[in-house]
Amino acid sequence: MTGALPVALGNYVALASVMFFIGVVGVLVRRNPLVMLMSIELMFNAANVLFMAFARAWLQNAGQIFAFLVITVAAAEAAIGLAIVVAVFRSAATVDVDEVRSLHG
Amino acid sequence: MIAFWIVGAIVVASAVWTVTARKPVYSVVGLLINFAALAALYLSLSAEFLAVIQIIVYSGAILILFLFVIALLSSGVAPFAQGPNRLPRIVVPAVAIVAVALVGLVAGINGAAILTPSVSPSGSPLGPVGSAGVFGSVADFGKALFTTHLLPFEVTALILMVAVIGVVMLAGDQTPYVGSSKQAARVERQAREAILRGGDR
Amino acid sequence: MILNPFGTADWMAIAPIVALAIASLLVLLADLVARPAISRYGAVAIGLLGTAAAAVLAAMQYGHVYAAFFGGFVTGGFTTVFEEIVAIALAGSLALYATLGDPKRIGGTVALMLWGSCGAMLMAGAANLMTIFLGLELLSLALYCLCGMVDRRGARESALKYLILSSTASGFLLFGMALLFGASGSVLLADLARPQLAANPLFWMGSGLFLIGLAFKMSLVPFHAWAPDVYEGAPLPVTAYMSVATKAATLAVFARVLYAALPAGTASHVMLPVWIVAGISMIAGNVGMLAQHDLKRLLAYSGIAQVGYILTAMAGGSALGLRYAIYYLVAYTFMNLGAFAVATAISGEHEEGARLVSYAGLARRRPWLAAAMTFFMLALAGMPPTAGFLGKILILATSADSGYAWLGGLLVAGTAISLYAYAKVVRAMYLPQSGDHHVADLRPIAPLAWISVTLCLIGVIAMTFYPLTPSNVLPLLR
Repeated sequence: MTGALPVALGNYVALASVMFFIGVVGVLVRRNPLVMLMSIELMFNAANVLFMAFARAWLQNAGQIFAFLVITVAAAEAAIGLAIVVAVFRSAATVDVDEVRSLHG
Repeated sequence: MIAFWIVGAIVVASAVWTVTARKPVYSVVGLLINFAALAALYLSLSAEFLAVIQIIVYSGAILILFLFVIALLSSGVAPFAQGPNRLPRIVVPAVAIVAVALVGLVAGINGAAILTPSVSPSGSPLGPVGSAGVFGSVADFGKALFTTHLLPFEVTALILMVAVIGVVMLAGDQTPYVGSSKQAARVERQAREAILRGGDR
Repeated sequence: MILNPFGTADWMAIAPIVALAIASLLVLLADLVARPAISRYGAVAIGLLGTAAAAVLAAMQYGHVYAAFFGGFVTGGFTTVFEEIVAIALAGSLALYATLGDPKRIGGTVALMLWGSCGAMLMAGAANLMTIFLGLELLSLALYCLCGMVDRRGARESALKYLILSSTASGFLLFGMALLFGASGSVLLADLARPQLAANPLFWMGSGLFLIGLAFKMSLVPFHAWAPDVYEGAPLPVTAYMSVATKAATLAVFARVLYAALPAGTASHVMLPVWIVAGISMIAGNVGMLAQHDLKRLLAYSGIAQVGYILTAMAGGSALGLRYAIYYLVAYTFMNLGAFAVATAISGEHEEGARLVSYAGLARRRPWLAAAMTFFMLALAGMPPTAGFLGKILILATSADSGYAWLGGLLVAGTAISLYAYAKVVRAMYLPQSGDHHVADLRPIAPLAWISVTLCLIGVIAMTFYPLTPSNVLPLLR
């Protein structure tokens, strides 16, 4: 358990950054709110990768606990997001943010 | 070390698939692969508990929730908007520029000393420090969760309460389905006509 | 074995939050057990009692700086002040719900509002990245639900839009926090102030992303586009709450980071983008107000500019600047809640008070309400006999002292632009117009709406004549 990380720490930062970036692009580019929510999950998980890698590097379990809390928050957020999607769908019968014309901008 | 590159490739490829897939169901599958690969990554970082939680909560609960909603909505009136939907021309060069900048930044970081050099983790006053032997074990994790980080842990109870009550109030009311009731009426009428015609439909 | 490491002081530190949480459970219980008997007023009354208890418990901690839960939550003057602001916002919005709320859903609505305030109060005292993140998410999650709680299609769409944009901002904030954790090896804000971090690239990347997340939640200009749409779609009491509580809680986090959690000498570099963005917000927010015909959108743009004013006070990083920022924030809380209370008072089922046409000729139908609204508009614009004017003078003085005179200049320019927009509301009420609308004509006004308008009026006037600025807002960390 002691000793260095499997690979240099910078590689984890690179992996997490790429994942975060893909998530941001997903939110910006896609219109389907379900895919947008999934892209947000990607962003949160990218942060979790960083927390794990840094926790291991510093041997500080605060990073692991932070990641644990993030998973809890992500679960709550996904539940509420999906409930709102269902509620919008009920009143609009379409789930597409661009079709939402009454709110422009 | 090779394991990291394999897992990393899977993580990136599945993330790209999640974002670009034409149907939301494929996106869910992409995300599932992504989360499984992340769990493997966590194992290699001696976060056993989190690896298990990642599988149980993310793959087992959150993604199933997504699947349920997709199934629920796909049976409705309008299908989902298909394809990579919105890609204004400005976005493409912007994405390229940011990607290049990101790679450059990460390369720069790889060269620089990342951890603050003059602060040694074990010597600094950072609160209880996990010793190397037990770091990442469930006991170590649980002890820190219920002592040092008790307050954040208690706050998650409130967050889950908000989620439960909020979802019940948002989606669990008795207001009739505007779109679906019309559809239900149409289906009912068609069925009635089919029966009247002789029942071969 | 593990001994209980926490004493009474730790639990007393979070007593206001616990009081709100207990009140929310009582509301739900009352709603469950006595649904037909408990009216809107019953649920709101329990909520108001909980708020009062929280406010008293918070006030008891005023002179007592203590780092509870291993530095997760710090009590003392600064925390108490922001907790009281959240309590005021909560009480004001709950009172509005008593007149506008949907009786079928009032229990859950009040409970969600109380939980959201738990999150906001947690942010007020958070001195650790985890507590900041969880408080922010608790507040945001409750607000997503509250925005979508109405059967109007617009409300649900605005909730969806808010959820997606705000979660993206949370993602930025979280990634920034992860980088900051990587730089310092600790989640405590106090550990971010170590001088070695100034040379670490992770620190710079992390604080940049962290500030982007905060700027979104404060609706500063490049990240402001959500605010008018979300304010317009949400129910009036929720809009009133969001416009004050979210800003106050986020500003508390921002101030704590600025004043106590940056390595020495880095503050002016790390925060320079924030000051620039604040300057742009003051101009763009006030210009955006000019074209609005909806009171909620108008106040959304107004809020964008007002955050800019408050940040101007903090720009120098002086203790006096923080005190003036708090003074202006409290005054803003009263005048903004007052404007929303007037809008609620003339609203019925369809929220007529949210549209500017409803104010045409109000001075003849409701002279006292019109006078109150005029006063709130003058205060928001920063005209002489009000607390808004005094606050702006103090901010100008401190910005000139601390070398941020250019921000002060933008403040003056923004104020000049905003006069026209605020005057539009006043003119509609007093000038006779051809197409006089009688939408909200002589409907009786609920007593609680009168009370909230009066209390906000008293608040603004009291702030004018007794310009108390809390003196012991520092130290923020221990």
